[in-house]
Amino acid sequence: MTAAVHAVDVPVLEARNVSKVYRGRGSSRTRSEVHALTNVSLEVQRGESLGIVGESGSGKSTLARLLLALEEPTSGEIRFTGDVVSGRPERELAELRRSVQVVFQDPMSSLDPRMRTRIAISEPLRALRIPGDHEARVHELLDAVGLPRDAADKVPHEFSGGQRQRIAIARALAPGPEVLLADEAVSALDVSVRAQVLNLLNRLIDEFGLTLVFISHDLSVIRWMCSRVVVLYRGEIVESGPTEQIYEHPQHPYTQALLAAVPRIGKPIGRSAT
Amino acid sequence: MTLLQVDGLTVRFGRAEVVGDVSFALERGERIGLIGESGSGKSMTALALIGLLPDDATTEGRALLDGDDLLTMSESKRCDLRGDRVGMIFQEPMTALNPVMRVGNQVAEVVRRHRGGSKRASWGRALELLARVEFTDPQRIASSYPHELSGGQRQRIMVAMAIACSPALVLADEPTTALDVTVQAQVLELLARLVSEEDAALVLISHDLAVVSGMCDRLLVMYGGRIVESGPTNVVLEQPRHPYTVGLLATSTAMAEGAARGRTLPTIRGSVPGLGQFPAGCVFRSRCERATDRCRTTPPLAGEGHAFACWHPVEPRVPVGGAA
Repeated sequence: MTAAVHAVDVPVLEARNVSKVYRGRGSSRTRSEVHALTNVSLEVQRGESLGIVGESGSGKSTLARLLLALEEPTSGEIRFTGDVVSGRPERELAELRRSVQVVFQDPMSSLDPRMRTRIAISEPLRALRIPGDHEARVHELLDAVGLPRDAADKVPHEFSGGQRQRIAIARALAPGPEVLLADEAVSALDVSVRAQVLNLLNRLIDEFGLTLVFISHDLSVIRWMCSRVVVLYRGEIVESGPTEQIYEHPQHPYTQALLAAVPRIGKPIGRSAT
Repeated sequence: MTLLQVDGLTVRFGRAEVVGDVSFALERGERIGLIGESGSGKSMTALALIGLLPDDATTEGRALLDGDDLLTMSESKRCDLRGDRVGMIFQEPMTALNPVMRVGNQVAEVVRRHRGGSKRASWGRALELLARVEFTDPQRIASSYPHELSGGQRQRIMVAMAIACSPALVLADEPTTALDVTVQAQVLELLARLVSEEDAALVLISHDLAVVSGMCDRLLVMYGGRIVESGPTNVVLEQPRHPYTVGLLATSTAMAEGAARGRTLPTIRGSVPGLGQFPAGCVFRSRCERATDRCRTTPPLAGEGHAFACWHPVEPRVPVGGAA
Protein backbone atom coordinates (compact mmCIF):
# COMPACT_ATOMS: atom_id res chain seq x y z
CA MET A 1 0.00 0.00 0.00
CA THR A 2 1.16 3.50 -0.74
CA ALA A 3 -0.36 5.21 2.26
CA ALA A 4 1.89 7.86 3.69
CA VAL A 5 3.27 7.34 7.16
CA HIS A 6 1.28 9.16 9.79
CA ALA A 7 1.56 9.37 13.50
CA VAL A 8 -0.36 6.46 15.04
CA ASP A 9 -2.97 8.68 16.59
CA VAL A 10 -4.07 10.47 13.43
CA PRO A 11 -7.46 8.95 12.63
CA VAL A 12 -7.82 7.69 9.10
CA LEU A 13 -11.31 9.20 8.96
CA GLU A 14 -12.74 11.79 11.27
CA ALA A 15 -15.93 13.80 11.65
CA ARG A 16 -15.59 16.96 13.71
CA ASN A 17 -18.79 18.61 14.95
CA VAL A 18 -20.55 17.68 11.77
CA SER A 19 -24.12 18.82 11.18
CA LYS A 20 -26.24 18.31 8.10
CA VAL A 21 -29.44 20.19 7.46
CA TYR A 22 -31.60 19.50 4.41
CA ARG A 23 -33.77 22.43 3.46
CA GLY A 24 -37.07 22.03 1.67
CA ARG A 25 -38.32 24.39 -1.00
CA GLY A 26 -40.22 27.59 -0.29
CA SER A 27 -39.44 30.94 1.23
CA SER A 28 -37.25 31.23 4.28
CA ARG A 29 -40.38 31.49 6.40
CA THR A 30 -42.31 28.48 5.10
CA ARG A 31 -39.69 25.97 4.06
CA SER A 32 -39.09 22.94 6.18
CA GLU A 33 -35.74 21.94 7.55
CA VAL A 34 -34.60 18.43 8.34
CA HIS A 35 -31.75 18.20 10.78
CA ALA A 36 -30.27 14.91 9.61
CA LEU A 37 -27.16 15.16 11.77
CA THR A 38 -26.36 17.42 14.71
CA ASN A 39 -22.85 17.94 16.06
CA VAL A 40 -21.55 14.51 15.32
CA SER A 41 -17.91 13.82 16.10
CA LEU A 42 -16.19 10.51 15.61
CA GLU A 43 -12.77 9.13 14.82
CA VAL A 44 -11.97 6.02 12.86
CA GLN A 45 -8.56 4.66 13.80
CA ARG A 46 -6.51 2.73 11.30
CA GLY A 47 -7.15 -1.02 11.54
CA GLU A 48 -10.22 -0.84 13.75
CA SER A 49 -13.74 -2.00 13.00
CA LEU A 50 -16.20 0.73 13.91
CA GLY A 51 -19.93 0.07 13.93
CA ILE A 52 -22.48 2.81 13.42
CA VAL A 53 -25.90 1.63 14.52
CA GLY A 54 -29.22 3.38 14.29
CA GLU A 55 -32.82 3.01 13.18
CA SER A 56 -34.43 4.73 10.22
CA GLY A 57 -34.11 8.49 10.49
CA SER A 58 -31.06 8.23 12.76
CA GLY A 59 -28.84 9.86 10.15
CA LYS A 60 -26.58 6.86 9.64
CA SER A 61 -26.76 6.95 5.87
CA THR A 62 -26.24 10.71 5.82
CA LEU A 63 -23.16 10.18 7.95
CA ALA A 64 -21.95 7.57 5.46
CA ARG A 65 -22.35 10.01 2.58
CA LEU A 66 -20.46 12.69 4.48
CA LEU A 67 -17.61 10.34 5.40
CA LEU A 68 -17.39 9.35 1.74
CA ALA A 69 -17.33 13.05 0.76
CA LEU A 70 -20.34 12.48 -1.47
CA GLU A 71 -22.02 15.35 0.32
CA GLU A 72 -20.84 18.41 2.19
CA PRO A 73 -21.68 18.91 5.85
CA THR A 74 -23.70 22.06 6.62
CA SER A 75 -21.19 22.78 9.35
CA GLY A 76 -18.20 21.03 10.83
CA GLU A 77 -15.63 19.11 8.86
CA ILE A 78 -14.65 15.68 7.62
CA ARG A 79 -10.97 14.78 7.73
CA PHE A 80 -9.15 12.04 5.92
CA THR A 81 -5.74 11.13 7.41
CA GLY A 82 -5.77 14.48 9.13
CA ASP A 83 -6.54 16.59 6.06
CA VAL A 84 -9.82 18.44 5.76
CA VAL A 85 -11.80 17.11 2.81
CA SER A 86 -15.05 19.04 3.20
CA GLY A 87 -15.25 21.95 0.81
CA ARG A 88 -12.42 20.71 -1.36
CA PRO A 89 -12.92 20.35 -5.13
CA GLU A 90 -13.27 16.84 -6.53
CA ARG A 91 -9.83 16.92 -8.20
CA GLU A 92 -8.20 17.22 -4.80
CA LEU A 93 -9.99 14.17 -3.46
CA ALA A 94 -8.16 11.54 -5.53
CA GLU A 95 -6.45 9.93 -2.56
CA LEU A 96 -9.70 9.73 -0.57
CA ARG A 97 -11.55 8.29 -3.55
CA ARG A 98 -8.97 5.52 -3.86
CA SER A 99 -8.53 4.84 -0.17
CA VAL A 100 -12.11 4.86 1.05
CA GLN A 101 -14.39 2.43 -0.74
CA VAL A 102 -18.00 1.54 -0.11
CA VAL A 103 -20.32 -1.46 -0.35
CA PHE A 104 -24.03 -0.64 -0.35
CA GLN A 105 -27.05 -2.73 0.60
CA ASP A 106 -28.41 -3.66 -2.77
CA PRO A 107 -25.89 -4.78 -5.40
CA MET A 108 -28.73 -4.95 -7.92
CA SER A 109 -28.92 -1.17 -7.87
CA SER A 110 -25.21 -0.46 -7.37
CA LEU A 111 -24.09 -2.72 -10.24
CA ASP A 112 -24.92 -1.87 -13.86
CA PRO A 113 -27.24 -4.69 -15.02
CA ARG A 114 -25.59 -4.84 -18.46
CA MET A 115 -21.99 -4.62 -17.31
CA ARG A 116 -19.95 -7.81 -17.27
CA THR A 117 -18.24 -8.57 -13.99
CA ARG A 118 -14.72 -7.96 -15.36
CA ILE A 119 -15.72 -4.45 -16.48
CA ALA A 120 -17.58 -3.72 -13.23
CA ILE A 121 -14.65 -4.78 -11.05
CA SER A 122 -11.99 -3.00 -13.10
CA GLU A 123 -14.02 0.19 -13.59
CA PRO A 124 -12.63 1.90 -10.46
CA LEU A 125 -9.10 1.15 -11.71
CA ARG A 126 -9.81 2.99 -14.94
CA ALA A 127 -11.74 5.79 -13.26
CA LEU A 128 -8.91 6.39 -10.80
CA ARG A 129 -6.27 5.91 -13.53
CA ILE A 130 -4.53 3.16 -11.62
CA PRO A 131 -1.92 1.59 -13.91
CA GLY A 132 -1.20 -2.14 -14.13
CA ASP A 133 -2.61 -5.35 -15.52
CA HIS A 134 -6.31 -4.89 -14.87
CA GLU A 135 -7.23 -8.34 -16.16
CA ALA A 136 -4.87 -10.00 -13.70
CA ARG A 137 -6.23 -7.80 -10.92
CA VAL A 138 -9.79 -8.89 -11.72
CA HIS A 139 -8.78 -12.55 -11.42
CA GLU A 140 -6.97 -11.88 -8.17
CA LEU A 141 -10.06 -10.17 -6.76
CA LEU A 142 -12.45 -12.90 -7.92
CA ASP A 143 -10.22 -15.40 -6.10
CA ALA A 144 -10.17 -13.20 -3.02
CA VAL A 145 -13.96 -13.00 -2.79
CA GLY A 146 -14.43 -16.69 -3.58
CA LEU A 147 -15.98 -16.44 -7.04
CA PRO A 148 -14.94 -18.65 -9.97
CA ARG A 149 -12.96 -16.94 -12.72
CA ASP A 150 -15.65 -17.54 -15.30
CA ALA A 151 -17.77 -15.10 -13.30
CA ALA A 152 -15.79 -12.40 -15.11
CA ASP A 153 -17.86 -12.79 -18.26
CA LYS A 154 -21.26 -12.82 -16.65
CA VAL A 155 -23.74 -10.03 -15.90
CA PRO A 156 -25.38 -9.34 -12.50
CA HIS A 157 -28.67 -11.17 -13.05
CA GLU A 158 -26.78 -14.41 -13.59
CA PHE A 159 -25.70 -14.38 -9.94
CA SER A 160 -27.46 -14.94 -6.64
CA GLY A 161 -27.79 -12.06 -4.16
CA GLY A 162 -24.81 -13.27 -2.14
CA GLN A 163 -22.65 -13.61 -5.24
CA ARG A 164 -23.60 -10.14 -6.40
CA GLN A 165 -22.55 -8.75 -3.04
CA ARG A 166 -19.20 -10.55 -3.48
CA ILE A 167 -18.81 -8.75 -6.81
CA ALA A 168 -19.60 -5.43 -5.14
CA ILE A 169 -16.94 -6.22 -2.52
CA ALA A 170 -14.37 -7.17 -5.19
CA ARG A 171 -15.09 -3.89 -6.97
CA ALA A 172 -14.63 -1.95 -3.75
CA LEU A 173 -11.31 -3.68 -3.09
CA ALA A 174 -10.00 -3.15 -6.63
CA PRO A 175 -8.19 0.15 -6.01
CA GLY A 176 -6.55 -1.19 -2.84
CA PRO A 177 -8.44 0.89 -0.28
CA GLU A 178 -7.47 1.40 3.35
CA VAL A 179 -11.02 1.85 4.55
CA LEU A 180 -14.04 -0.19 3.62
CA LEU A 181 -17.36 1.42 4.45
CA ALA A 182 -20.24 -1.06 4.46
CA ASP A 183 -23.67 0.57 4.47
CA GLU A 184 -26.24 -2.15 5.33
CA ALA A 185 -24.07 -4.42 3.18
CA VAL A 186 -25.65 -7.69 4.34
CA SER A 187 -29.15 -6.49 5.23
CA ALA A 188 -30.78 -7.79 2.05
CA LEU A 189 -29.22 -11.25 2.31
CA ASP A 190 -30.75 -14.41 3.70
CA VAL A 191 -29.37 -15.59 7.04
CA SER A 192 -27.36 -18.51 5.64
CA VAL A 193 -25.77 -16.34 2.94
CA ARG A 194 -25.27 -13.37 5.26
CA ALA A 195 -22.99 -15.48 7.46
CA GLN A 196 -20.86 -16.36 4.43
CA VAL A 197 -20.47 -12.71 3.43
CA LEU A 198 -19.63 -11.66 7.00
CA ASN A 199 -16.96 -14.37 7.16
CA LEU A 200 -15.61 -13.17 3.82
CA LEU A 201 -15.47 -9.57 5.06
CA ASN A 202 -13.60 -10.61 8.20
CA ARG A 203 -11.12 -12.63 6.17
CA LEU A 204 -10.53 -9.74 3.75
CA ILE A 205 -10.08 -7.30 6.64
CA ASP A 206 -7.29 -9.51 8.01
CA GLU A 207 -5.79 -10.27 4.63
CA PHE A 208 -5.64 -6.68 3.38
CA GLY A 209 -5.33 -4.93 6.72
CA LEU A 210 -8.53 -2.99 6.11
CA THR A 211 -10.19 -0.51 8.40
CA LEU A 212 -13.93 -1.19 8.57
CA VAL A 213 -16.78 1.23 9.07
CA PHE A 214 -19.91 -0.88 9.30
CA ILE A 215 -23.23 0.92 9.21
CA SER A 216 -26.35 -1.05 10.04
CA HIS A 217 -29.68 -1.16 11.81
CA ASP A 218 -28.89 -4.77 12.76
CA LEU A 219 -27.47 -4.91 16.24
CA SER A 220 -26.32 -8.51 16.07
CA VAL A 221 -24.37 -7.99 12.86
CA ILE A 222 -22.67 -4.92 14.35
CA ARG A 223 -21.83 -6.85 17.48
CA TRP A 224 -20.28 -9.63 15.45
CA MET A 225 -18.23 -7.39 13.20
CA CYS A 226 -17.12 -4.39 15.25
CA SER A 227 -14.82 -3.70 18.15
CA ARG A 228 -16.27 -0.25 18.80
CA VAL A 229 -19.79 1.06 18.36
CA VAL A 230 -21.43 4.44 17.90
CA VAL A 231 -25.18 4.62 18.53
CA LEU A 232 -27.04 7.24 16.51
CA TYR A 233 -30.49 8.49 17.38
CA ARG A 234 -32.26 11.29 15.56
CA GLY A 235 -29.04 12.63 14.12
CA GLU A 236 -27.05 12.60 17.33
CA ILE A 237 -24.59 10.22 18.86
CA VAL A 238 -26.19 9.10 22.10
CA GLU A 239 -23.57 6.59 23.13
CA SER A 240 -20.27 5.17 21.95
CA GLY A 241 -17.68 2.77 23.28
CA PRO A 242 -16.19 -0.71 23.04
CA THR A 243 -18.73 -3.18 21.67
CA GLU A 244 -18.94 -5.44 24.69
CA GLN A 245 -19.36 -2.50 27.03
CA ILE A 246 -22.21 -1.06 24.97
CA TYR A 247 -23.99 -4.38 24.63
CA GLU A 248 -23.45 -5.55 28.19
CA HIS A 249 -23.83 -2.25 30.02
CA PRO A 250 -25.67 0.26 27.86
CA GLN A 251 -25.86 3.62 29.62
CA HIS A 252 -28.19 5.71 27.47
CA PRO A 253 -31.93 4.95 27.75
CA TYR A 254 -32.22 4.75 23.98
CA THR A 255 -29.45 2.16 23.69
CA GLN A 256 -31.10 0.22 26.48
CA ALA A 257 -34.48 0.33 24.72
CA LEU A 258 -32.90 -0.64 21.41
CA LEU A 259 -31.13 -3.66 22.87
CA ALA A 260 -34.19 -4.73 24.83
CA ALA A 261 -36.30 -4.65 21.65
CA VAL A 262 -34.13 -7.12 19.75
CA PRO A 263 -36.02 -10.39 19.50
CA ARG A 264 -34.02 -13.34 20.78
CA ILE A 265 -34.40 -16.96 19.85
CA GLY A 266 -36.51 -18.69 22.45
CA LYS A 267 -37.56 -15.48 24.22
CA PRO A 268 -41.37 -15.37 24.27
CA ILE A 269 -43.04 -12.25 22.88
CA GLY A 270 -46.17 -10.85 24.55
CA ARG A 271 -47.00 -14.07 26.38
CA SER A 272 -46.22 -13.21 29.94
CA ALA A 273 -49.81 -14.17 30.78
CA THR A 274 -49.42 -17.86 29.98
CA MET B 1 -60.20 -28.94 17.58
CA THR B 2 -58.77 -28.53 14.10
CA LEU B 3 -59.41 -25.18 12.48
CA LEU B 4 -57.30 -25.50 9.37
CA GLN B 5 -56.24 -28.75 7.74
CA VAL B 6 -53.80 -28.42 4.84
CA ASP B 7 -53.15 -31.60 2.85
CA GLY B 8 -50.62 -31.93 0.04
CA LEU B 9 -50.69 -28.28 -0.94
CA THR B 10 -48.66 -27.81 -4.11
CA VAL B 11 -48.30 -24.55 -6.05
CA ARG B 12 -46.79 -24.39 -9.51
CA PHE B 13 -45.95 -21.67 -11.99
CA GLY B 14 -45.87 -23.55 -15.27
CA ARG B 15 -43.59 -26.48 -14.50
CA ALA B 16 -41.76 -24.76 -11.66
CA GLU B 17 -42.98 -25.98 -8.29
CA VAL B 18 -42.79 -23.26 -5.62
CA VAL B 19 -44.68 -25.12 -2.90
CA GLY B 20 -44.51 -28.90 -2.76
CA ASP B 21 -46.73 -31.26 -0.80
CA VAL B 22 -47.21 -29.03 2.22
CA SER B 23 -49.39 -30.56 4.92
CA PHE B 24 -50.14 -29.30 8.40
CA ALA B 25 -52.99 -28.86 10.80
CA LEU B 26 -53.74 -25.82 12.90
CA GLU B 27 -55.80 -26.08 16.06
CA ARG B 28 -58.14 -23.34 17.22
CA GLY B 29 -56.20 -20.62 18.97
CA GLU B 30 -52.87 -22.19 18.08
CA ARG B 31 -49.98 -20.16 16.73
CA ILE B 32 -47.71 -21.61 14.12
CA GLY B 33 -44.70 -19.98 12.54
CA LEU B 34 -43.58 -20.59 8.99
CA ILE B 35 -39.89 -19.90 8.86
CA GLY B 36 -37.80 -19.87 5.72
CA GLU B 37 -35.46 -17.87 3.54
CA SER B 38 -36.29 -16.38 0.15
CA GLY B 39 -37.57 -19.02 -2.24
CA SER B 40 -38.72 -21.27 0.59
CA GLY B 41 -42.35 -21.01 -0.50
CA LYS B 42 -43.59 -19.60 2.80
CA SER B 43 -45.35 -16.58 1.29
CA MET B 44 -46.78 -18.60 -1.59
CA THR B 45 -48.25 -20.99 0.98
CA ALA B 46 -49.98 -18.07 2.68
CA LEU B 47 -51.22 -16.57 -0.57
CA ALA B 48 -52.59 -19.95 -1.66
CA LEU B 49 -54.55 -20.22 1.60
CA ILE B 50 -56.31 -16.90 1.08
CA GLY B 51 -56.69 -17.24 -2.66
CA LEU B 52 -54.41 -14.37 -3.60
CA LEU B 53 -51.95 -16.27 -5.80
CA PRO B 54 -51.13 -14.71 -9.17
CA ASP B 55 -53.41 -15.89 -11.98
CA ASP B 56 -50.80 -18.06 -13.65
CA ALA B 57 -50.32 -20.22 -10.58
CA THR B 58 -51.94 -23.65 -10.29
CA THR B 59 -52.65 -25.44 -7.04
CA GLU B 60 -53.18 -29.00 -5.93
CA GLY B 61 -54.22 -30.46 -2.61
CA ARG B 62 -56.72 -29.29 -0.03
CA ALA B 63 -56.87 -26.63 2.65
CA LEU B 64 -59.93 -27.03 4.79
CA LEU B 65 -60.97 -24.20 7.06
CA ASP B 66 -63.77 -25.56 9.23
CA GLY B 67 -64.51 -27.99 6.41
CA ASP B 68 -64.55 -25.44 3.54
CA ASP B 69 -61.81 -25.95 0.96
CA LEU B 70 -59.99 -22.65 0.57
CA LEU B 71 -58.35 -23.78 -2.66
CA THR B 72 -61.49 -24.54 -4.61
CA MET B 73 -64.12 -22.18 -3.19
CA SER B 74 -65.58 -19.46 -5.39
CA GLU B 75 -64.05 -16.00 -5.41
CA SER B 76 -67.18 -14.46 -3.93
CA LYS B 77 -67.08 -16.91 -1.06
CA ARG B 78 -63.42 -16.12 -0.54
CA CYS B 79 -64.27 -12.42 -0.38
CA ASP B 80 -66.78 -13.20 2.35
CA LEU B 81 -64.04 -15.01 4.20
CA ARG B 82 -61.19 -12.53 3.92
CA GLY B 83 -61.43 -9.91 6.63
CA ASP B 84 -64.12 -11.91 8.39
CA ARG B 85 -63.07 -15.42 9.45
CA VAL B 86 -59.55 -14.82 8.14
CA GLY B 87 -57.66 -11.62 8.93
CA MET B 88 -54.51 -10.74 7.01
CA ILE B 89 -51.47 -8.60 7.63
CA PHE B 90 -48.77 -8.11 5.04
CA GLN B 91 -45.25 -6.73 5.12
CA GLU B 92 -45.93 -3.44 3.43
CA PRO B 93 -49.02 -1.64 4.78
CA MET B 94 -48.43 1.17 2.30
CA THR B 95 -49.39 -1.15 -0.56
CA ALA B 96 -52.19 -2.85 1.38
CA LEU B 97 -53.90 0.42 2.34
CA ASN B 98 -55.74 2.70 -0.05
CA PRO B 99 -53.64 5.88 -0.24
CA VAL B 100 -56.57 8.21 -0.97
CA MET B 101 -58.97 7.01 1.71
CA ARG B 102 -58.94 8.01 5.37
CA VAL B 103 -57.77 5.06 7.45
CA GLY B 104 -60.86 5.22 9.65
CA ASN B 105 -63.03 4.61 6.59
CA GLN B 106 -60.85 1.70 5.59
CA VAL B 107 -61.27 0.05 8.96
CA ALA B 108 -64.99 0.86 8.92
CA GLU B 109 -65.32 -0.61 5.44
CA VAL B 110 -64.15 -4.01 6.69
CA VAL B 111 -66.77 -3.93 9.43
CA ARG B 112 -69.57 -2.83 7.11
CA ARG B 113 -68.63 -5.31 4.37
CA HIS B 114 -68.97 -8.23 6.75
CA ARG B 115 -71.28 -7.04 9.49
CA GLY B 116 -73.42 -4.47 7.74
CA GLY B 117 -74.79 -1.53 9.72
CA SER B 118 -74.82 2.19 9.12
CA LYS B 119 -71.83 4.29 8.19
CA ARG B 120 -72.06 6.00 11.53
CA ALA B 121 -72.10 2.71 13.44
CA SER B 122 -69.17 1.24 11.53
CA TRP B 123 -67.20 4.47 12.00
CA GLY B 124 -67.81 4.16 15.73
CA ARG B 125 -66.65 0.57 15.62
CA ALA B 126 -63.52 1.67 13.71
CA LEU B 127 -62.71 4.13 16.51
CA GLU B 128 -63.03 1.33 19.07
CA LEU B 129 -60.71 -0.85 17.01
CA LEU B 130 -58.15 1.94 16.72
CA ALA B 131 -58.22 2.28 20.49
CA ARG B 132 -57.65 -1.44 20.79
CA VAL B 133 -54.48 -1.18 18.72
CA GLU B 134 -53.30 1.38 21.28
CA PHE B 135 -53.90 4.68 19.54
CA THR B 136 -54.55 7.20 22.27
CA ASP B 137 -56.29 9.58 19.85
CA PRO B 138 -58.41 7.34 17.57
CA GLN B 139 -60.39 10.33 16.27
CA ARG B 140 -57.33 12.04 14.79
CA ILE B 141 -55.82 8.79 13.46
CA ALA B 142 -59.12 7.78 11.83
CA SER B 143 -59.19 11.05 9.91
CA SER B 144 -55.64 10.61 8.65
CA TYR B 145 -54.47 9.31 5.30
CA PRO B 146 -51.94 6.47 5.24
CA HIS B 147 -49.05 8.72 4.18
CA GLU B 148 -49.57 10.87 7.25
CA LEU B 149 -48.80 7.94 9.53
CA SER B 150 -45.53 6.20 10.36
CA GLY B 151 -44.78 2.65 9.25
CA GLY B 152 -45.54 1.29 12.70
CA GLN B 153 -48.83 3.21 12.89
CA ARG B 154 -49.85 1.92 9.46
CA GLN B 155 -49.11 -1.63 10.53
CA ARG B 156 -51.27 -1.13 13.64
CA ILE B 157 -54.08 -0.05 11.30
CA MET B 158 -53.60 -3.34 9.46
CA VAL B 159 -53.80 -5.20 12.75
CA ALA B 160 -57.05 -3.36 13.54
CA MET B 161 -58.48 -4.39 10.18
CA ALA B 162 -57.31 -7.98 10.62
CA ILE B 163 -59.11 -8.41 13.94
CA ALA B 164 -62.12 -6.21 13.08
CA CYS B 165 -64.51 -9.14 12.69
CA SER B 166 -63.05 -11.42 15.38
CA PRO B 167 -61.45 -13.84 12.92
CA ALA B 168 -60.78 -17.48 13.69
CA LEU B 169 -57.47 -17.22 11.83
CA VAL B 170 -54.97 -14.39 11.40
CA LEU B 171 -52.41 -14.74 8.63
CA ALA B 172 -49.43 -12.43 9.06
CA ASP B 173 -46.78 -12.44 6.33
CA GLU B 174 -43.56 -10.70 7.48
CA PRO B 175 -45.68 -8.17 9.41
CA THR B 176 -42.73 -6.40 11.05
CA THR B 177 -39.91 -6.95 8.58
CA ALA B 178 -40.04 -3.39 7.27
CA LEU B 179 -40.15 -1.85 10.75
CA ASP B 180 -37.42 -0.60 13.05
CA VAL B 181 -36.57 -2.97 15.86
CA THR B 182 -38.16 -0.87 18.62
CA VAL B 183 -41.37 -0.50 16.59
CA GLN B 184 -41.28 -4.18 15.68
CA ALA B 185 -41.31 -5.09 19.36
CA GLN B 186 -44.43 -2.95 19.94
CA VAL B 187 -46.32 -4.34 16.95
CA LEU B 188 -45.46 -7.95 17.81
CA GLU B 189 -46.59 -7.55 21.42
CA LEU B 190 -49.79 -5.93 20.21
CA LEU B 191 -50.42 -8.69 17.70
CA ALA B 192 -49.73 -11.40 20.28
CA ARG B 193 -52.10 -9.78 22.78
CA LEU B 194 -54.97 -9.21 20.34
CA VAL B 195 -54.74 -12.66 18.77
CA SER B 196 -54.99 -14.15 22.22
CA GLU B 197 -57.87 -11.83 23.26
CA GLU B 198 -59.78 -12.81 20.13
CA ASP B 199 -58.91 -16.46 20.66
CA ALA B 200 -57.77 -16.53 17.05
CA ALA B 201 -55.24 -18.90 15.56
CA LEU B 202 -52.15 -17.32 14.03
CA VAL B 203 -50.04 -18.27 11.06
CA LEU B 204 -46.96 -16.07 11.26
CA ILE B 205 -44.62 -16.09 8.31
CA SER B 206 -41.13 -14.73 8.72
CA HIS B 207 -37.50 -15.15 7.79
CA ASP B 208 -36.60 -14.18 11.37
CA LEU B 209 -36.20 -17.19 13.62
CA ALA B 210 -36.21 -15.06 16.76
CA VAL B 211 -39.53 -13.46 15.81
CA VAL B 212 -41.38 -16.68 14.96
CA SER B 213 -39.93 -18.62 17.86
CA GLY B 214 -40.94 -15.87 20.28
CA MET B 215 -44.49 -15.71 18.96
CA CYS B 216 -45.43 -19.26 18.07
CA ASP B 217 -46.25 -22.57 19.75
CA ARG B 218 -45.13 -24.60 16.79
CA LEU B 219 -42.67 -24.08 13.94
CA LEU B 220 -42.74 -25.22 10.35
CA VAL B 221 -39.32 -24.85 8.77
CA MET B 222 -39.57 -24.45 5.01
CA TYR B 223 -36.90 -24.80 2.37
CA GLY B 224 -37.30 -25.09 -1.39
CA GLY B 225 -41.10 -25.09 -1.17
CA ARG B 226 -41.24 -27.94 1.32
CA ILE B 227 -41.63 -28.34 5.03
CA VAL B 228 -38.33 -29.88 6.07
CA GLU B 229 -38.98 -29.90 9.82
CA SER B 230 -41.90 -29.19 12.11
CA GLY B 231 -42.62 -29.45 15.77
CA PRO B 232 -43.24 -27.61 19.03
CA THR B 233 -41.08 -24.47 19.12
CA ASN B 234 -38.90 -25.50 22.05
CA VAL B 235 -38.29 -28.97 20.62
CA VAL B 236 -37.25 -27.65 17.20
CA LEU B 237 -34.98 -25.07 18.83
CA GLU B 238 -33.42 -27.48 21.31
CA GLN B 239 -33.25 -30.63 19.23
CA PRO B 240 -33.25 -29.71 15.56
CA ARG B 241 -32.84 -32.79 13.38
CA HIS B 242 -32.86 -31.54 9.79
CA PRO B 243 -29.42 -30.31 8.68
CA TYR B 244 -30.97 -27.13 7.29
CA THR B 245 -32.64 -26.26 10.61
CA VAL B 246 -29.41 -27.11 12.43
CA GLY B 247 -27.41 -24.82 10.11
CA LEU B 248 -29.90 -21.97 10.37
CA LEU B 249 -29.93 -22.20 14.16
CA ALA B 250 -26.16 -22.43 14.40
CA THR B 251 -25.70 -19.22 12.41
CA SER B 252 -28.40 -17.32 14.25
CA THR B 253 -27.35 -18.33 17.73
CA ALA B 254 -23.63 -17.80 17.11
CA MET B 255 -24.32 -14.23 16.06
CA ALA B 256 -26.62 -13.58 19.00
CA GLU B 257 -23.99 -14.89 21.41
CA GLY B 258 -21.40 -12.47 20.05
CA ALA B 259 -19.40 -12.52 23.30
CA ALA B 260 -17.88 -15.97 22.90
CA ARG B 261 -17.19 -15.47 19.23
CA GLY B 262 -14.30 -16.60 17.14
CA ARG B 263 -13.87 -14.90 13.82
CA THR B 264 -15.84 -17.41 11.79
CA LEU B 265 -19.60 -17.85 11.78
CA PRO B 266 -21.04 -21.27 11.06
CA THR B 267 -22.55 -21.16 7.58
CA ILE B 268 -24.62 -23.25 5.22
CA ARG B 269 -22.57 -23.72 2.06
CA GLY B 270 -23.75 -22.51 -1.32
CA SER B 271 -26.80 -20.36 -1.84
CA VAL B 272 -30.53 -20.78 -2.19
CA PRO B 273 -31.20 -22.01 -5.75
CA GLY B 274 -33.38 -19.91 -8.03
CA LEU B 275 -37.02 -20.65 -8.87
CA GLY B 276 -37.35 -24.17 -10.26
CA GLN B 277 -33.62 -24.87 -9.72
CA PHE B 278 -33.92 -26.96 -6.57
CA PRO B 279 -32.61 -30.51 -6.95
CA ALA B 280 -34.98 -33.44 -7.39
CA GLY B 281 -35.29 -35.64 -4.33
CA CYS B 282 -34.35 -33.84 -1.14
CA VAL B 283 -34.49 -30.13 -1.96
CA PHE B 284 -31.62 -29.36 0.41
CA ARG B 285 -29.16 -31.98 -0.83
CA SER B 286 -27.20 -29.58 -3.08
CA ARG B 287 -26.13 -27.68 0.05
CA CYS B 288 -26.09 -30.49 2.57
CA GLU B 289 -22.91 -31.87 4.13
CA ARG B 290 -24.63 -35.17 4.87
CA ALA B 291 -26.16 -35.82 1.45
CA THR B 292 -25.71 -39.25 -0.15
CA ASP B 293 -27.19 -41.05 -3.16
CA ARG B 294 -30.17 -41.96 -1.06
CA CYS B 295 -31.14 -38.25 -0.98
CA ARG B 296 -32.07 -38.44 -4.67
CA THR B 297 -35.32 -39.88 -3.36
CA THR B 298 -37.56 -37.36 -1.61
CA PRO B 299 -37.56 -38.08 2.12
CA PRO B 300 -41.01 -38.06 3.73
CA LEU B 301 -41.82 -35.63 6.53
CA ALA B 302 -41.94 -38.30 9.22
CA GLY B 303 -42.52 -38.22 12.95
CA GLU B 304 -45.30 -37.66 15.44
CA GLY B 305 -45.33 -34.14 16.86
CA HIS B 306 -41.74 -33.46 15.89
CA ALA B 307 -41.27 -34.37 12.23
CA PHE B 308 -38.40 -33.97 9.78
CA ALA B 309 -37.85 -34.83 6.13
CA CYS B 310 -34.34 -36.24 6.09
CA TRP B 311 -32.66 -39.58 5.42
CA HIS B 312 -29.65 -38.64 7.55
CA PRO B 313 -30.98 -36.54 10.41
CA VAL B 314 -28.61 -34.90 12.86
CA GLU B 315 -28.49 -36.70 16.21
CA PRO B 316 -30.44 -34.87 18.90
CA ARG B 317 -28.18 -32.76 21.09
CA VAL B 318 -29.65 -34.09 24.30
CA PRO B 319 -31.40 -37.41 24.78
CA VAL B 320 -35.09 -37.05 24.06
CA GLY B 321 -36.78 -36.94 27.40
CA GLY B 322 -40.27 -35.80 28.19
CA ALA B 323 -39.94 -32.71 25.94
CA ALA B 324 -41.90 -33.82 22.85
